[in-house]
Amino acid sequence: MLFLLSTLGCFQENLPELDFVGTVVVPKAAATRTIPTLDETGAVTGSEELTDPRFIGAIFLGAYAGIDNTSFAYPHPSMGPILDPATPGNAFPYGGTSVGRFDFACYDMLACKIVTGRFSDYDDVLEYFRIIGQPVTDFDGNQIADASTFQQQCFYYYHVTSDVELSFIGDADFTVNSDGDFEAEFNMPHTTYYEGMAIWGFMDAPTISATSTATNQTFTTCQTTGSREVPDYNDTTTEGEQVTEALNFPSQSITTGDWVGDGTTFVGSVDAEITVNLSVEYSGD
Amino acid sequence: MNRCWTPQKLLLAATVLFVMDPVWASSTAGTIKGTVSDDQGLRVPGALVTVSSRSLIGGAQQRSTDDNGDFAFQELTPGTYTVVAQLQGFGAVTRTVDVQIGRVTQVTIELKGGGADVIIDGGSGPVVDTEQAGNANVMNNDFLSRIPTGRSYQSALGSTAGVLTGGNPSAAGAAGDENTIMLDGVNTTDPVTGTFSMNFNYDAIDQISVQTGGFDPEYGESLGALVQIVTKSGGNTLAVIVGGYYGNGNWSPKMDGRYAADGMPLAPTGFDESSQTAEADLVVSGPIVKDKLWYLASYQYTRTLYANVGVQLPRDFDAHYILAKLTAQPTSKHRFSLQFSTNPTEIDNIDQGNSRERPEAQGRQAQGGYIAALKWNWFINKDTNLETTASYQKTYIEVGGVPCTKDLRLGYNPCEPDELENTVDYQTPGRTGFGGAYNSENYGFYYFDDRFRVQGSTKLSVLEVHDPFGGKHDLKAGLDFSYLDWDQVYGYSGNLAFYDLYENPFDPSTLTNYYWVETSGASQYRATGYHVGAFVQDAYKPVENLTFRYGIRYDRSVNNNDAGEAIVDVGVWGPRIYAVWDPFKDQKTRVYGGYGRFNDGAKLEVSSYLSQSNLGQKLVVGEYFGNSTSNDANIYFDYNTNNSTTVFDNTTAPHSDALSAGVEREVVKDVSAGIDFQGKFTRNVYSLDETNLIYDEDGYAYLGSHDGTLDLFYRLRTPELSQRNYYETDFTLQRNFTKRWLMQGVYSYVVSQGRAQDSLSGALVNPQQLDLGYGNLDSDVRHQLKLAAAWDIPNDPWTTKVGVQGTFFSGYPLSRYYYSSAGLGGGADYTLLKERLGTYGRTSPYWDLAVQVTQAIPVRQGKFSAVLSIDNVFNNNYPTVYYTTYIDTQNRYVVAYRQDPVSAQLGAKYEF
Repeated sequence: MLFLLSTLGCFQENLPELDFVGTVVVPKAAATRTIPTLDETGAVTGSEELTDPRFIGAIFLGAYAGIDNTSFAYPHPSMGPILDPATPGNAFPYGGTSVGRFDFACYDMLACKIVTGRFSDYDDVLEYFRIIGQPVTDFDGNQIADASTFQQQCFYYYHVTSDVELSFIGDADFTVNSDGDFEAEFNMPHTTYYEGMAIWGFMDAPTISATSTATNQTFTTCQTTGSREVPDYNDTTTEGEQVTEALNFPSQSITTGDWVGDGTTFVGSVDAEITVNLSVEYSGD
Repeated sequence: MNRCWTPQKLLLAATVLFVMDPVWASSTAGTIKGTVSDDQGLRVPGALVTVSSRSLIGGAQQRSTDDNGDFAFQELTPGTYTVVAQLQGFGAVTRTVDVQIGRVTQVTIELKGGGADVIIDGGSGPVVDTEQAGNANVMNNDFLSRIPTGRSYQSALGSTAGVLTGGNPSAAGAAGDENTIMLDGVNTTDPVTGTFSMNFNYDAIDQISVQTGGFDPEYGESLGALVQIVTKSGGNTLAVIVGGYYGNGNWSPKMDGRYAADGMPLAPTGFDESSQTAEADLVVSGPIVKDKLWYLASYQYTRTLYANVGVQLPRDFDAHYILAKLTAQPTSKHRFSLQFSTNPTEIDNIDQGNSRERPEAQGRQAQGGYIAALKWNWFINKDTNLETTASYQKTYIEVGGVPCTKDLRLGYNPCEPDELENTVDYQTPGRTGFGGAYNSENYGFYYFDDRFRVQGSTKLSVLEVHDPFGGKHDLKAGLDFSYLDWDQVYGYSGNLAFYDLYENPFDPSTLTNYYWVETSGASQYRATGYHVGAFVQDAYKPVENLTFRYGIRYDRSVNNNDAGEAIVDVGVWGPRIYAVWDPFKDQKTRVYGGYGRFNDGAKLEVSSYLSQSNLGQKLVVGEYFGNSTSNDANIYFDYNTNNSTTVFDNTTAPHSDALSAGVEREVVKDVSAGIDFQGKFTRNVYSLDETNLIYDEDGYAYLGSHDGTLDLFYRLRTPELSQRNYYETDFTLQRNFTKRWLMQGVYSYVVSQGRAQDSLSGALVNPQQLDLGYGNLDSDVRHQLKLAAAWDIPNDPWTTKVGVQGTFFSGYPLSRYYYSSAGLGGGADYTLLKERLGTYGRTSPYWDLAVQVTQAIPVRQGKFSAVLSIDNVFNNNYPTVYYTTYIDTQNRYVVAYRQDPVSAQLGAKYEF
């Protein structure tokens, strides 16, 4: 019998790709923004500084051949040939993932403004947009005053009957570490491993202005054009969609105020502990 | 998970095996074994045992009992047998028993000294096969003729525990294309798709055996059921069966099977699908030379008209099933069987999906094939048989436009006065296009598909081999070989243009609301493959009441794609070991258990996913989406002009490791009760993953790609993750037909979980969804109850035979999918999971009751009977069907297929 079983052998697939897990650290400063102070009518009366993990935008992480510390004002993945001076070289990642993603939160005005893993419930969303000077409104411009109305719109829009089925609210991705910074785990599956490869990423920080609130909470890595459209009687909702080449041409998505990996995370073995520090703030060229 | 066989695991497995069991001996014939003893209980050597049957060509066979008083007869055609034991000084004892496919019928005969001859009322013979280690469901002619099984072998399979419904049913958790279907010992499974490929006259079937696990090393290449169909062979007297049947689904009340958002059925509607079936049968058999050469010829004509809701022209299925068979036994040592089966079929109006389809734009499909097989049994001596089989099979599918007809009764696509009949008109507008858009031209798609299999096998079996250390062996070893070939040509007869789905104005000059397909001619695809298998197996009885069945087989399979690349190239072992114990030595009980590995050498279809030559079509798209905001006129899609798939060269054969155990006991005379368990762990199921795109953390959208494009690059894999875990516990009660009634009941509790219900899974395409991709599979129908019973009411000669069959399924698991901009096919679609597969809910339970009444009408010669069958007597709703068990967020309601409505069939049958 043992002989018979021994004939079975053991199939080892030996895939060239592996799954990597690690931690991404976002400095406290990246989650600290100057926001407007508002009076009862919503008019800006001043400003104040606030640290809040809801200011942490979508984070894109990739595995690359190496780091280029010279081409840009921040560490950037090694690139392929630059064929067009106006276009960076393709970075050709071995794998990637995100921490948080853009999700549509039921109202047209929230398209491209909500990142998953940042908001715990409807009130959390309503409060956040209120304090950044962009209270949530419906199609007709009516302000959404309570969570119940918000929930009903979501149930109607997504044809669901439970908050569990919505992705934009729920458990938070980030916790505060002993340094006061924010950190979260990430899972980067199906990644081709090369010894010494670099794990690098960036955070697309939301635009937050204490004075010009109309453009607050916008992201360069999300676009409404070409995204999913859902007709609803006379209106059409455009849900927004993240750009599809964020890891191939990251410099096209990194703009002033975004936080970039420091370029020091290299993977020397398949079971290495991986920590990516997004400690470089891009303040412009 | 690491599934290597470590020493610890080997020890554990060995321990498990010695406390458990399964199956063995399966073939197209059965075996009678037994002992003869005197009235003192002492074994009697030298007693003459004679077996005879109307089914047995070559006449009666005789053996003398050996020193231990044992006798054995192998390779007996299924049927009712008379066993007579004689010895000088004793009265002859006669017993009648049934021989079934793959079963050992145990006969114990006690001679009475100096007494008169005795005829024992043995009923159907022993109901428990104490050498059988698995759970074979054998449906003999008594069952098939009395129980309403829809007059097709595909429908009859559903009577078996763990087999779900459908023409290609899921069996023991496997995919519907992972069964093996054998006709008189020849594999007829479609070499490309793994589904059934042949139809034939139901009245020509003698027995069907269905095993969902634990079959012998003799058989490979099946992860689902092993279905063995044995046809009748004729006899020494002329026998004719003539039948005619008409069925109609329109006699049912109108009740639509749609469901609202909350899962409740919607109110009945006034429209419905329609269906009608007509069937005519003829089976003629008899002797050419008595006891030497028999023939059987059968023909069935079937026509089925079926129309979906709102579709004017019914799908018109027109089929002829022909089966011819010659069986010869010129000497006692040689038996030959030559068989030919063909089933040419034409199907008109194949597109039932769109009510806007114009008649002249409909498609026609021709399908069918033939198989020719020769089998030679060489009975080298009384216990040794060499069986050699060779066969050639061709199946085909041809699809094209509907040719015109001059038969005005058909009411569609009449020929123009100057047009030749059967001309295909590719010019007349009317065909609907992709997505239901209107097409400016006719249906120009054509498809010619030919599939071939050449196969041969040889098997040597030796019974009753004495072991020097005690006990006896039944040994069997063999080789089998098959060559597979798949040729297909497809394309469009001309360039096709489509207008907007919403019928918006179109402008060819700007391509607004307009798109078309440019074709560069026919595409051709060819795949080939071969399979070689070898096995050796033994049924060893060290003592009278204990049997060990063990053996191993090796399978080597190579499947090449059109470029000659070996997409599948595997050599795998399949060891199997089972033990069967008769604890009370009364041949009424068996306790069994064991382990087996079953491999799937792959279908040719697998290699087609890595085709190199799907060239020839170019989709040119105007702004045809009415709500598009982009102005992407002239978007060109080169359809598969490059090899978008790559083979990962480290693959293995999908396989199941199956543990089975059970106990069965004849609780009262002719009635057995049993409990059976089967755990089937299927690994390395073929799966495609995508190697280029990079997803966000939820698998919702793309973040980039490895090569800087958004092209999809699929890779064929057989990973450990691509798996199923299936557990089935059956409680059975069975009585073979005797004393005018039979009964079969089984309750199964099933758990089926994994990632890959299909034989080629897409479960790994989105790596961020892997964890959620494990859950309840479509075959996870927890509670399954199947009951069948028949009674011949004793009002002879006006015998009324009543048969009923009831089925209960507790509902299929549902998955809920959410919108994703990174769908599995590369486009946006409802593919995102947020909870584990199949855990969202379940469809409502389904139950079905069918009744058949056969009324004998005395005639001067022969037997004439009228038959009424009613399926789904209570017009019960059928829930969502297999493979459509999903709900997405924008489509909360499940539009199920229309239920299988109540349908009735009337028929008449004459036999002599």
